[in-house]
Amino acid sequence: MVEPHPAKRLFTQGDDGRGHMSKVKCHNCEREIERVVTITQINGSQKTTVSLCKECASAMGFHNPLNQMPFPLAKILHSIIQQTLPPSQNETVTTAACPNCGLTFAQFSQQGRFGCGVCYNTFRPKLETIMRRIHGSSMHRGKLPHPHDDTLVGVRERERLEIEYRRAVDGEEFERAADLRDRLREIRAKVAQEESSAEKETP
Amino acid sequence: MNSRFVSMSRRTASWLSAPGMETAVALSSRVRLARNLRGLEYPHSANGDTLERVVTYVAAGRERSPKLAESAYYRGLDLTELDSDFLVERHLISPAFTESDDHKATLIDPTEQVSIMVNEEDHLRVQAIVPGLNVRSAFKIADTYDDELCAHLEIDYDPDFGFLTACPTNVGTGMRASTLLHLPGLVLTREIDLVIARITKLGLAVRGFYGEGSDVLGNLFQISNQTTLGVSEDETLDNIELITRQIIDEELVARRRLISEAGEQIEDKIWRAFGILKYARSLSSEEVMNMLSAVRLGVSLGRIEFLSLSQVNELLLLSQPAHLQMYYDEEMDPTRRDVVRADLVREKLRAADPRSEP
Repeated sequence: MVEPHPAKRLFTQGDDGRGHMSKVKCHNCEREIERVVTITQINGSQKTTVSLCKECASAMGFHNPLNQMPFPLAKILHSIIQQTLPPSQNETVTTAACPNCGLTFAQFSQQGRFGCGVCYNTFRPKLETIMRRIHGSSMHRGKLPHPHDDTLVGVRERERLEIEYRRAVDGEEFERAADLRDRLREIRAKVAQEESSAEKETP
Repeated sequence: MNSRFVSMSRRTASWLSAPGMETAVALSSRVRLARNLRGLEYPHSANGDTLERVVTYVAAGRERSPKLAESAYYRGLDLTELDSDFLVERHLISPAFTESDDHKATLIDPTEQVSIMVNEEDHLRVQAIVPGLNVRSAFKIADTYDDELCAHLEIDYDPDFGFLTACPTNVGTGMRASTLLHLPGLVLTREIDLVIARITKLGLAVRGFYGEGSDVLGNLFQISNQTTLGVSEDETLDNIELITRQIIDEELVARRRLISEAGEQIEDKIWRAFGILKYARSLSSEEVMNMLSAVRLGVSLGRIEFLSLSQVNELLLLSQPAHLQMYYDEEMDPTRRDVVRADLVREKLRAADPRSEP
């Protein structure tokens, strides 16, 4: 049997040249191998080669370099969030549910993901600690979205209302549709006004 | 099968087509930005109705932006499984994005360097991919598309937390910058473990070729940042670039060491791999990747002079299952693919080296 030697460890996957196509049995557990790990060891003038399954190879100390890596951040997130949960403190935050999507802090800590952007505001007092554990900081540095241009905001809002209006009409929510139509009129007038005044300003 | 992708498969990906030896270690650089629309639930917790709204808003935003309007627009349902696999192989969409095609959309710019996924983990994922070590230019490209999104859509943002994302690990810049590196020297000299341990300590992540949770195929590794909050885009890009340069230097030292200390074995490995590729009548994609890794090493060491790195890159891309089927405009089962793949590899190698007859 080939013994892993610290200085002679080598993990080569599918290095037998046949990849997953070969029907090879694991030298150790004798199961048919889906992905072959070929281990070649040179002891003096003697060269030994065996084929193992992935599980046996790593159990014997032949490893894939990536297996040694700590878990990706997303996976240890849950435990990070759990650690920041002293039961007495911030009771209101931990029991609060997001007013927009209904996510509770307990659910957030379970799934490690927010339900919507409003969650950030809902859980803000707890997030500072969590963010510092994850990123080493709780304050953004870097790009800001485009500096807000009033005309642009108006155009976007008009478009959003138009989409919502069509949806309301299609869904036969006539009261909502009427309300949206009124708001649309207002914003259309405002955008038109801003556009005409902007034209006057340009020489 | 989308006919546009059939013709796309006949030309190599723009991110693999840098000339010269510049890409001997660093194949490509990529930047992705995570963005969300204000007030709407994130894809994992949203219902179909909300997701459809996201798609509608983005489609409307695209109409109003001349730059975004130039890009090709695909609804998830327009794409077959093969079409999606093709885009994954080309690194234009993520594997996770293909799991379901409901309420999804993809934008691809005319140069095929930029793609925008709608309703992946976040409402919007903008990514740009360029050849060689050049995260800064990848960021610049992605940034101009992000500016368009910010101008034409209500992108969610918080003064404290920056760009808001579904996962707290992406909040802030929402940016993940990465480089794809070919490291056969460090793997063969077994220094790779130490290198990975060091990179991880510096707060960067190391992944295999296909990204998260995948095995290392063809000695290809991806290095990326983990921190997105409190570190600006500039600092992150500097950091990735600096560390990638260090790894490239170490890889080149390892290659020189291999040649001086085990020249014969390395040459044997290179030419055996070449021989398999040149004469085999059936090749799996995994096998091609592993053999091409050795051939790529041979080309970069000047041992195989009649092949260029971009020819090796082209084979790497074309031998993947969906590309192969697009290239021949034919759906094939795995057994047939292996035979056709071997034909293609032989044909390409014969064209590059006309001296001998396989």
